[in-house]
Parts: sequence; structure tokens; C-alpha cells
Amino acid sequence: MSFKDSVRIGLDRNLEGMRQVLDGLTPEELLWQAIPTTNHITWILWHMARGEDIFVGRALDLGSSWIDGDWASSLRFGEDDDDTGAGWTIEQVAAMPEVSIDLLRDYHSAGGERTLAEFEKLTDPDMDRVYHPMPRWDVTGAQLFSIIVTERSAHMGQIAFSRGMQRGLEGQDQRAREWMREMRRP
Amino acid sequence: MTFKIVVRSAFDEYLREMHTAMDGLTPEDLRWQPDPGSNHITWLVWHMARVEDGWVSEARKTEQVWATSDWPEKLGLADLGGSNGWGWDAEQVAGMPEISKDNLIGYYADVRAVTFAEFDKMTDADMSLPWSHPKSSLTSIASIFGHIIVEESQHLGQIAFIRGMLRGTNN
Repeated sequence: MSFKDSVRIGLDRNLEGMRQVLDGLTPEELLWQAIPTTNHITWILWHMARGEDIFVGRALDLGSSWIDGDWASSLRFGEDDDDTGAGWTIEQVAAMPEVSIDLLRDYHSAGGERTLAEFEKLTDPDMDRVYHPMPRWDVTGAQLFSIIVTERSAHMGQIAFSRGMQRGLEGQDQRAREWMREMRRP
Repeated sequence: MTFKIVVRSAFDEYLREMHTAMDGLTPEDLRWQPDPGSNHITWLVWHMARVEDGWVSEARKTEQVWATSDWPEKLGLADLGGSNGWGWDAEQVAGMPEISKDNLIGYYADVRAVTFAEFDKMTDADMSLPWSHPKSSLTSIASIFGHIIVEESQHLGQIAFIRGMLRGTNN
């Protein structure tokens, strides 16, 4: 085990956490906004997936799974292929249509699995290399993966918060409920 | 540069973003709950600090800052024992005493000082050390640190989400 394993475990726990937090959500829950000026889960998940696809794809020179995997044809809600939803107005968020949770989740997972696969190939010196994930934005390999883990997890926490507001503690996904019961056993 | 820097950068990132999300918030903002069943920022920040304190103590076999300082008294939480807020119900969250932003940040600063003092001494060999608990899926010191950066970043995201509800975008 090594620090590389810590990062891999973080990336993996995040992907697993996403599967759990999205479990069973209805189309209405995916578009629910706590107040008119907050993001809904559909936007958060789409933003996460687009962001990772672009950020990792460009930094590691992987091409675009958006185009290659033909996700673009069903999930194009932005102005162009660089649009991750960042900076959208609340009107743009509210105007997003109902999107199949399976499609969004599959696109997000595909990006996450690609990131993991590429991460496995990297070694210590790569953490010092400079990558170019976005125009005018250079990061080291260490910063790249630190941002991926923290940013992805931050958004996952927001999805969990929105889910919690809609379903309460009793509406947690099945694994969370089982885990809570287990933890409460003396 | 090694993968150790990724983990350290992640610790830096989520605490820095937490401070950014708290910048300029009033005492009322810190206690605002979007609905009665939601956590507020005070609980979230305190819980984040308690979680980091607990996990680092566990991983490094050191005493928690909470147990060896007067922070429990300063925060008005001396009767809690070792609780980190996990499993609390809505009444407990709403019933927290008023805690100043300075005290929340102060406790976390002390925790973070220990976190980095310990982390900076660690090597890959430390990551290999086994760890287990009957109620946890984590099985090594490496997995503890992988878990911390994911869990804490989730809460950071929630703090930013609540701030957004309070202040709107770009505020």
C-alpha cells in the first residue's frame, strides 16, 4: 500500500458513493430545486460528468469520450462542447429537461472509470509534470488529481444534501440505511 | 513530487474552500437550516473538524485535539464526550449552542496543525499498516486517508450549497 493507493481508494469510494446516492431517485427528484436559485441534481450530475470528461480528457490527452462515446447526441445541453454548466444562469439550470438517470449515471461512470484506468498508469514523476486541462490553466499531476477527488466529492455531498432534503433520514439509499443500522448495533 | 502530495493537496483544498464558503457569513447564516431536518453550517464545520481529529488520531495512535484541549468547553460542547455529531437527530442539530465562527475555525486550525504534523512524517510504509474495525469497510491506513478526503470534501460541498442558498450565485 502506498499514497497512490490512498488516491485510488478516494477515486473509487467516490464512484461507489455516487451509485448509492443516486439510487432510486425519481425524475421529479432529479429536477427538484430547494429554492428557485439552487442547482438540481440533474445539473450537478451533468456538470460533474462534463467537467471530468473535459478536464481529464484534455489534461491526459485522451480525446473526447463525449464525442467518441456518442454521449453528446443525447446530453448536449450546453452552448458548445466546452460547456460544463459552470457559470450558467439559474434560468439555464431551470430550463434543463428531464434526463434519464441511467444515461447520466452511465456517462458519469464512464468518465470516472476512464480516470481510474489512466490514473493506474501514472507514477511519482507524473505528479510533478505540468498538464493543461483547460486553456490558460496549468496544473501539476498532483493538483489535477487533488482537484478531481475534492471537486467530485463536494458535488456528491450536494446531491446527498438535496436527496436528504427531499427524502429525510428515512429516505436514504438502501446501503446507507443498512450501514446506519449496523453502526447503531451495540 | 509523489502521490503523497495529491493527498496533502486535497486536505489543503477542502479546508481552503471551506474557509472561502464561510467568508463573510453572519452568526445567523451559520445556523440557517433550509428545512428543519437539514444540517446547518455550524454543525457541518464542527463535524468536519471532529471527523478529521478522530481519523488522524486513529491512524496515528495519537490523542485527539478534542480530548487534550479546552475546545469542548470553549464550544459549549463539553458534555458530548467523544461524539462527532454522527447520527444526530434534527433536535440535536438544532439544539447546538451558539458557537462563534472564530471558535469553529480555531478548533479546526488546531486539528489541521496536528493532521499535517503527523501526515508530513508518514511514508508509503505507513500506508501499508493494516487497520480494521468491525463496523468499517476500511482495511488499511491508506484507505483511511482515501476516505477522509472524500468524506470531508462532501461536507465542504454542502457548506457551499447552503451558502449559495443564502447568498445566491457569485456572492
